[in-house]
Amino acid sequence: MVPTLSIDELSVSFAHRTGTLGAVDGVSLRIAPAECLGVVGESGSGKTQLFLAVMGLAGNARVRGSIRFEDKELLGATARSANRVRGSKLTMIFQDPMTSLTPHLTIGTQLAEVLVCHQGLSWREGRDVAGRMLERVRIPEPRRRLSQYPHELSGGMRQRVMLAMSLLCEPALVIADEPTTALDVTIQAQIIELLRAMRGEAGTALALVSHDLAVVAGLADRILVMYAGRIVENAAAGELFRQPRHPYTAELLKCVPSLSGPRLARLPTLAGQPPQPGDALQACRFAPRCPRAADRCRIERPALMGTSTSQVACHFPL
Amino acid sequence: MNKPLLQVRNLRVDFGRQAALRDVSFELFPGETVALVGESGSGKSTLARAILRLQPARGSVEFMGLDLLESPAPLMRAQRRNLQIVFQDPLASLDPRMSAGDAIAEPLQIFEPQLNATERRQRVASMLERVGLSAALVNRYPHEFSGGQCQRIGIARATVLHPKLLICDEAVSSLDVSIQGQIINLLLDLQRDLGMTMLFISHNLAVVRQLSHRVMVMYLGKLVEIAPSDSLFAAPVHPYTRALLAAVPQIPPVAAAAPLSEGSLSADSITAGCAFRDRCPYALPLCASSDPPLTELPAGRWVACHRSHETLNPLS
Repeated sequence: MVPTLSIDELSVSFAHRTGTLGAVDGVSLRIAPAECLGVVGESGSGKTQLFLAVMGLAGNARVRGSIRFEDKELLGATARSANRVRGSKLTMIFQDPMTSLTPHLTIGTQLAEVLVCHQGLSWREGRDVAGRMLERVRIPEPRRRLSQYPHELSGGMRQRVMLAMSLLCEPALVIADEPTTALDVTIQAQIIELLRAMRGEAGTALALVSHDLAVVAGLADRILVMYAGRIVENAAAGELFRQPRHPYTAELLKCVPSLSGPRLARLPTLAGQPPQPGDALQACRFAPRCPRAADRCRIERPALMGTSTSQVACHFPL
Repeated sequence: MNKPLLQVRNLRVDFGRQAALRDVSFELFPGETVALVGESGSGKSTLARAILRLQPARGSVEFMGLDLLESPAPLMRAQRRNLQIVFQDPLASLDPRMSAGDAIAEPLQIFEPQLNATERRQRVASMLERVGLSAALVNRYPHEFSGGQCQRIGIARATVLHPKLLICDEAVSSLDVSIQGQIINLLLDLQRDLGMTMLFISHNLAVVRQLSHRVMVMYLGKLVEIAPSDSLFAAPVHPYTRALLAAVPQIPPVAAAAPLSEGSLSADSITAGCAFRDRCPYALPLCASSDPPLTELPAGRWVACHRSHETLNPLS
């Protein structure tokens, strides 16, 4: 079976006055058709840059490696050919639905435009399809919304519009980058429910990128943990939570406050700060914060090892 | 029982026709941590601003025997050393042109002008160390620090005068989970050492559970439930509190209850009745006509719901 998305040895770096700063450092991953892949990591771990590169939105960053969508190479392809899939078969939604929508165009125009550009529909047909899509993402009074502007909708409603927009051309893969982070917990639950339904109905693959392990836990089949630009663990979701193998994953899980279990006098913490881009590249980048670090970790960087369903980049995994 | 440190009565804030706070009354006792939770737009930050008189309000806010809303400006200013706040955005709440040292020294210059420069430098240095930063960083500027470090500076600035009340308005919400715990532990340590009372505003219920003695739940400008933390999390009474708790994603995932619908009532459309009724799975005809007052139940609990005395079925 051809994976929906295959990324090989992808690096994203930025030119800086002090040299080159790497945001993503040799990442390889596969997303199978209809699979939900969770990608978790803290801010600065490179998870967003990775997927911006997939969408061709990495700006002036230097992107190297390979990104294949349904076996077609996107990196180095002409903009014309790459943009045939980007925005239609391969789409992305972002954290902030307000800044992702254009404030001076109606919802209907913004949605119909996707269909006019990608599928050659007329504006009238486009609006019809858009109205039906708003209904599918359970927006009340969908016809009326078409003539409203983004500021007239609530945050949760705007994120539904973004989701509707991403689904218009029946994509094979939707990338959702922190789709619920800006939303209240009750609205977050609705959007998670909607993403779940979307996978069930249309068989769309989903890459769910988030710093919030609990949000990812509810949806993902498989989870990648990123730290300082690299994948440090790749495991089935249930397995990752039951038995994390990378010390970073284990420490991170301990830090997530829980609604059940005993109340603690002090919260568990992870000492230290995440590394800055450009810090020692020869060592394991988690070593300075790692409770298990040994001499070897400070000289030799561990490679991601294991089978395709269970990988860890650690000299001394749990 | 102790005398309350802060007593808020019938606090009301209007933005035009829209009521941002509707008759909010509560007390904070010395040394306790009380969390204020609710969705965005519920009025949590407005309440903080009203207490600090950064926002015109009606009603009364009694703090250490003084009505803050009525007291003349010089008296209020003198009281500000006892009332401090830490904001959500650690970088935006620091002046980019002030070094970490200057930011922490400023409250001392204003409220303790008798200190000479050396004494002030010592206080700043020990405060920096106290919040877990090296005193060698005193001349660095905000942009040279990470988000977590900026929040430590904000906390140092807010606590250097040993305030009686510290309001934390989403103080850890923008931080990564690994840093969040460090900052919360720091706040708990400072609270214990300085004997501060804390009003901890947050939308993260799991964090709130860990650190608060009592929890207040706000919905569209009104307090709908106040309860000791343990009993609130074990057995929430108000349907809104129940729905909030049910919506929190957990590890491992639990079978989700049907998520709460998005409400159609807004603060300016509430004329009569309970503001939560359009989202409430337990609403009765009565709820449309009469707004339930916040009523005392046993064990230090207050709930504003017509059905608070019933045993309601769990949300399905």
